[in-house]
Amino acid sequence: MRKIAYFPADTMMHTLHPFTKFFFLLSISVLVFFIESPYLMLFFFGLLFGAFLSICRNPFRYFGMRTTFLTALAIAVIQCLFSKQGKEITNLFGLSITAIGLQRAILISLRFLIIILGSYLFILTTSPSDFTFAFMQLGVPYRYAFMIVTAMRLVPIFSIEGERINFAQRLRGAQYDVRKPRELFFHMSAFLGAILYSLVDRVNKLAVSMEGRSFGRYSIRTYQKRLSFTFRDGILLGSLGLAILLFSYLNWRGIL
Amino acid sequence: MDIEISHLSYRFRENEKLVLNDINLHISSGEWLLLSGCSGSGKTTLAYAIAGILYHQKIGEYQGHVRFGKQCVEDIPLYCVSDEVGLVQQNADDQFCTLNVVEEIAFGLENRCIPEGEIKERIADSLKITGTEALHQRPLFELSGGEKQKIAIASILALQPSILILDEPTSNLDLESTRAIFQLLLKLKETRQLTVIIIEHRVAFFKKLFQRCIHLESGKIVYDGTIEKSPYFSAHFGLGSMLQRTEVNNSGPILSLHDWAYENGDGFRLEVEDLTINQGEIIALMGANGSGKTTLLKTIPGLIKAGHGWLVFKGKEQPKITPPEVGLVFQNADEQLFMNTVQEEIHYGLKNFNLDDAIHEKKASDLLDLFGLNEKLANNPHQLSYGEKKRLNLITTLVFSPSILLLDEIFIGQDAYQVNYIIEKLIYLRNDGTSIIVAIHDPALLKRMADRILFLEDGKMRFNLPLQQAVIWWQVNGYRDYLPEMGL
Repeated sequence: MRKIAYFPADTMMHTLHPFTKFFFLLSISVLVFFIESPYLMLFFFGLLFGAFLSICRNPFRYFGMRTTFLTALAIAVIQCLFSKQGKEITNLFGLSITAIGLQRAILISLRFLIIILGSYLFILTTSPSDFTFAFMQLGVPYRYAFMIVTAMRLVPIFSIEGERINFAQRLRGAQYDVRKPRELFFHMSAFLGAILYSLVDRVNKLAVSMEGRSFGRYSIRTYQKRLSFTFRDGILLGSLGLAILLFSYLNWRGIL
Repeated sequence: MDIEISHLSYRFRENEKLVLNDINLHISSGEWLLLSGCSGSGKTTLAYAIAGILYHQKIGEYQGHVRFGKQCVEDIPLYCVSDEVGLVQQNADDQFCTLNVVEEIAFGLENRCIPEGEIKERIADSLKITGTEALHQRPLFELSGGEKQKIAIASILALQPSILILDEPTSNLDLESTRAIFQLLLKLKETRQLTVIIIEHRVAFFKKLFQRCIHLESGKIVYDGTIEKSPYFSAHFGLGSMLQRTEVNNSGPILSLHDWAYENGDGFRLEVEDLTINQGEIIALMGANGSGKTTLLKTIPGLIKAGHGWLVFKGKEQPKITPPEVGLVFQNADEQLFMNTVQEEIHYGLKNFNLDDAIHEKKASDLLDLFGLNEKLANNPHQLSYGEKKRLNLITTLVFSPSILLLDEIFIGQDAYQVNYIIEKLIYLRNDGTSIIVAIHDPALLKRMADRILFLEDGKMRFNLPLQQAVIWWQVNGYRDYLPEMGL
C-alpha cells in the first residue's frame, strides 16, 4: 500500500500549472452540486476516474482508497434504504427501494467520490513546493510562503519523533489509560515536554541553516525555475470557466 | 583567506562553565584542519563561532574575536559571514530547508538573488562534484543517509564559500557511505582551493586528508599538531583497564526467534529464520543502513508487531517480550529523556512498573555510581553532555534489571573515550549475566566486546556466527568493509 502523497512523473496532470489543478479541484467541487442528473454525474465520475487511471494503474493500492469507496457505498445504501419518496421499484426483505431514493443514492455517493478523488488527484500530481513557489511568484512575500515549506519539512519529522518518544515511554512502562486521568495527564505532559524540546532544537538548527544561507538578506529573491501557464493550462482553465458558467445558467433555468 | 581567532571565550546563559576558554588559533588559507575532542568539549561551539553564528545568535556571553583577513565576524552581518564560510551540520535533516534536491541546492543562491542561469550552472556544478547528478529530481525524504549528507555538502558548495566547516559529517552513516564522503572530500581537496575544518570522531578514514589536528578539552586547545603524533588518536586512548570477558555461569538460551518476519508496507521485509541468544553474551548486530537492524530490535519488545513467527523467552513461547524484561536504548539520546531532573528521569520507569522500592533505589544508586552520574541527580537531563545523556539512557533502562538489553547504534556521535567507557560497562553487565544485542557500524569495536555477530542484509539474516567465523565469511564473500581492521 502507498501513502497518498505527491510522486514525480510526466503525465499530463503532472505537467499542468499548480494553480490550474487547484482551480480544477475547486471547480469540480462546485459543479457536482449543480448536477441533479445521475447519468451526468456518472459521466463526470467516469471522466475523473479515467484521469485517475491515467496517473496510476491501480488506484486501490493507495491507503484510504478502499475506505473511500466503502464509505460511498455505505452512503448509497443508507440513501436507498431510508429515502421513501417516489415510486417503489423493488422490495428487498421488506425494505422498499424507491426511484428517488436510488437517484439520491447515486448522486450523493458520486458527489462524495468525485470530491475525494479530485483531492487525491491534486495531491498525487502537485509538488507541495511547486504549489508554494507558485504563490511566491504570484507576489506573496517569500518569508510567509516559506513558513508553509518549512512546516511541510518539519511535520513528518515530528511525526517520526513523536512515535519514537511514545516508544521510549512504553519501554519504561507508560500506559495511556483513559480510566486513570492523572496518570494520563502525567504521561502526556512528559510526551509534550519531549516534543517541545525537540521542536525548539530543530527550529534553532533550521534557523541557523537558513540564516547561514542568506535567507532574508533581500526583500526579493530569484528562482531557479519559473512556473508558467501553458496552452494546455489555458484550454483546461477556459473549459472549466465555461462549464461553470453553463451549469450556473442551466441550474438557474431549472434545466439540470 | 586566513582565519584568526584571538582570546575567544564563550559561556551559554544558563551555564556557569565556559564552553570555549580563551581560544587562540590561526588557520591559514587552504589549510585542512581536523577538530577533535570529547563530547561537550566545545568543537561545535567553536565551529559556530567561526561561522559567525555564535556571536549573532546572542544567546550567551561572547568575548574575543574571529577574523577573516581584515574582517571581523562581530562587525559584519551574518549573511556577509556566510559569503565566506559554509557550515554543514551534523544531521543533514536539520539543515534542509526545502523538499527536493534541486530546490535545496538552489535555496542559498536564490536568497542571494543570483540570476536564474547562473543558479542552474552552479547546481549542475555542485551535483557533479558531489557525484549526485542522478538524485537531482528526488525528494529529500527519499534519500539515504549518505545521499542526504552529500546533498547537504552540495548545497553549501554551490554558495562557493572559501571556508567549509563540516560538523561530524559521517556520524550517522554506515561504512559504505562514510567511504563515499571520504572520496568526495578527497576530490574537493584535489580540485578546489578551500580551507576545510572537519569535526570528526572517526579518524581512520580521514587522517590522510588532514595534516593538522586540534584537540579540545573543556573548551581549551590541548593539542595542536599532526594527527600521527596526537596522543588522542593512539590505539589505547581512553581504554583504561579494560575488563576481560569471562564465562557466565548457567549460560544457556534465554531468547530464540523462529520464522520471525515483519513487513513495513513499503516493500521492506525483515526475515530472521532462527536466532538463539544465550544468557550473558553480547551479540553485535551489523549491516548497512536500511538492512533492518533497528526494525529487528523494535519487533522484540513489540514496539512494531512482527507479522509472522514466534519467540521463546526463558522457555516460554510468546509474541513479544514485555518491558521491564527487555530494555531498548535508541540512537538519539534526547528522545528518551522526558523529565525535569536526572532523579525524576530514573524514577519515571520505576514508578510506572511499581518498582519504586528499596531494592530498586539501591540498584539506581549503584548504576549512578557505575556510570559516574551520582553528582548530577538534580541536573536537567537536557543540560548533560551528549555522553552523559547516553549514560543516563542506559541507567533508566538498566534500573529494571532487564534480562535482554537492546542497544541501537548507541556509539554514534560518541568520542573514543565515551565508546571505551560504555564498552567496559557493557562487558561488566554481560559478565553479570545480561544478554545484549547491540547494533553497530564500526567493525573495530567487534573484537573488544562481541561474542557473536548477527549480520543482516536487505532485511535477511545472512549469518549468526562467532567473530572468527564471521570474519572468514566476510573475507570469502568480499565484504572487506566489515573486517575489524577496516574499523573507523
